[in-house]
Amino acid sequence: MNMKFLPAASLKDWLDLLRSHGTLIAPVKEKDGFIAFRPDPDFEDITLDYQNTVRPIREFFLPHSETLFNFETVQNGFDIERNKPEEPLVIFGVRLCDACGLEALDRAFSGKYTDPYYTERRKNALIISLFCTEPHPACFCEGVQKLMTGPKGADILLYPVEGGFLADPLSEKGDKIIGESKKLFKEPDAEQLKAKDAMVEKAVGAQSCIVDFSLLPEKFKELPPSSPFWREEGEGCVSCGVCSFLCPACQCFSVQDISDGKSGKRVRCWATCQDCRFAKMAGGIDPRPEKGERHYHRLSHKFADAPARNDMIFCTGCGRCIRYCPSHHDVLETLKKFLEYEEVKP
Amino acid sequence: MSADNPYIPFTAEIMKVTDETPDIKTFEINITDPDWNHKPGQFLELSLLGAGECPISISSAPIQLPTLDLSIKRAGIVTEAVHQLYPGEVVGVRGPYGRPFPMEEWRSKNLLIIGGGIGLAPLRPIIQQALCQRELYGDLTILYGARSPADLVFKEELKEWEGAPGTDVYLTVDKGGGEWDGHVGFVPAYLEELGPSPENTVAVTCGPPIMIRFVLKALEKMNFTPEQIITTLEMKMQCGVGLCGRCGLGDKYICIDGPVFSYAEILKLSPDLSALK
Repeated sequence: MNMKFLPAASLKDWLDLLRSHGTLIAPVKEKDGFIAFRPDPDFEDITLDYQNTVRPIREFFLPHSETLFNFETVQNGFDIERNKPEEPLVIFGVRLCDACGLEALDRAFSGKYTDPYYTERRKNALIISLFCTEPHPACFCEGVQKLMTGPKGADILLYPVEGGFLADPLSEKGDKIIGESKKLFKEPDAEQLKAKDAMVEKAVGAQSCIVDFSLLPEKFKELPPSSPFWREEGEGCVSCGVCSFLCPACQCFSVQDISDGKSGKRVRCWATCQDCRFAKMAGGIDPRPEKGERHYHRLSHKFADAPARNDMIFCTGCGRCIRYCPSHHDVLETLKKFLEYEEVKP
Repeated sequence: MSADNPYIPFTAEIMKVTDETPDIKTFEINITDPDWNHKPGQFLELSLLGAGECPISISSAPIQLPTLDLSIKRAGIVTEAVHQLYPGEVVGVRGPYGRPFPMEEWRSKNLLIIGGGIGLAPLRPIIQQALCQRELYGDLTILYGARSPADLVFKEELKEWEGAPGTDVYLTVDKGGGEWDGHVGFVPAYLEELGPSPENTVAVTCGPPIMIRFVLKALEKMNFTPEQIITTLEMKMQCGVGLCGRCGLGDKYICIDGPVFSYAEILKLSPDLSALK
């Protein structure tokens, strides 16, 4: 699959063509100054001048709450009504980390059983990524996933270069989409390709990562949740769950019914393993009552268990959990300390 | 079960409700799905539309199909709502889910069943199946305890099991009283007192996590190897199909990789046994 060049002047036409494939979702600057992905934006409102959005694109595939089905009680039972199929999504301007989050969720939601809601949206979606020319200081996507040099989860990756974008088709679907709008794309010249390589090199160099992730699975086995390290690590955490809610690669959800007694709906919503009720069972038994134990759970899941189960670290290096944690927990600092920690044995 | 959507329950009628203890009832429900086939140790997701859904162990052996038993302790929102139901009313179910007890591997072995409280419910299908195929298994020893004599479940069946061939039943209660003239004391202590031999034996236990912890220790002391000890783990489950992420323990999900695990497997997953808090 070949890389093509899209002149900046053709972007609007291309996006208009893409709108015919589904609801276009793109980053826009909100009144409060935050950048967020919004459906069906005017071209003039779309901005590409951002490091990353506060919220990842996960919510378009796993909404923070959604109806699994509607039900109605009838004589001798109940009727269940499934939701209607949704419009396909075309998401434009997705950062590498958020696209990689979809790769993680793809694995999480298809195992022995498949989640039909996520899978349906994902199957119908087109993901167009945008390379990061200036990663945020909290970013570590190259360190944890090698995303700068091996992007995952997107159909097309755009590299902003002088006068436009180099469009790299990462999937067959992406290649087909570029092929459909041949007129807008040109063959890239050597200069542009060189500029792209230099951009990648610069971005890789701008990131540093203080953790050797390959050492983590063994270390998690060595220092269980009951270790004093985790007790200390949990201190200061307010269990708000922002680290899960803003994570592009978190899958957990909770299910409950909303009903007037006769009819209602079964809904699911995001759940965070940092909530003290997350693992608590009816009857009151709780395997993880301490914050430190819940931190262990979250981090061991992402860095040890997901690699074992899903062959992938469930962290994309987006840095949101570092940037937005109200108690200033820094996952990289924690993991670094963890790897250096030696338990004092009596 | 809906082929493409694992979250959709189907209806099952309640045929019979038996009061087991002041807070446990057994619901016999009718499964109309001809493809339904569960094995001892599996569970299903029980729906009461409006109240919600929760995982419940199937407490009867497959031979009882097309009906199955759910022995339910009143402990949360859904179980509380189920307790209000009568025969003729319907519930929603989906399943069966989870890894069953490896009963094929236990053939010709002695079975030592150790239950506490409602923990006898998932063990009951083993006993029923072993008694049904009596010649396939060795001696059957059942050690069962509850807080008080009134809290013992399957009271009539316990008497039947006592009289079954090659079967010993030992009952104990934490606190005696009334007409109780049997053993008084905790299950792990009674187990040590009885001192069963690990020779050609599989020990299967289920009960409150604290009981399981002490039973594991007691069995180890009696030279049972971790491979010879089987238990079922409890963890907050939600979807039952390995998608909601709630019941993760190490790289396993209790709902699809368990709930049945050997002690050897648990030691790998949770070396400090924090999963059995």
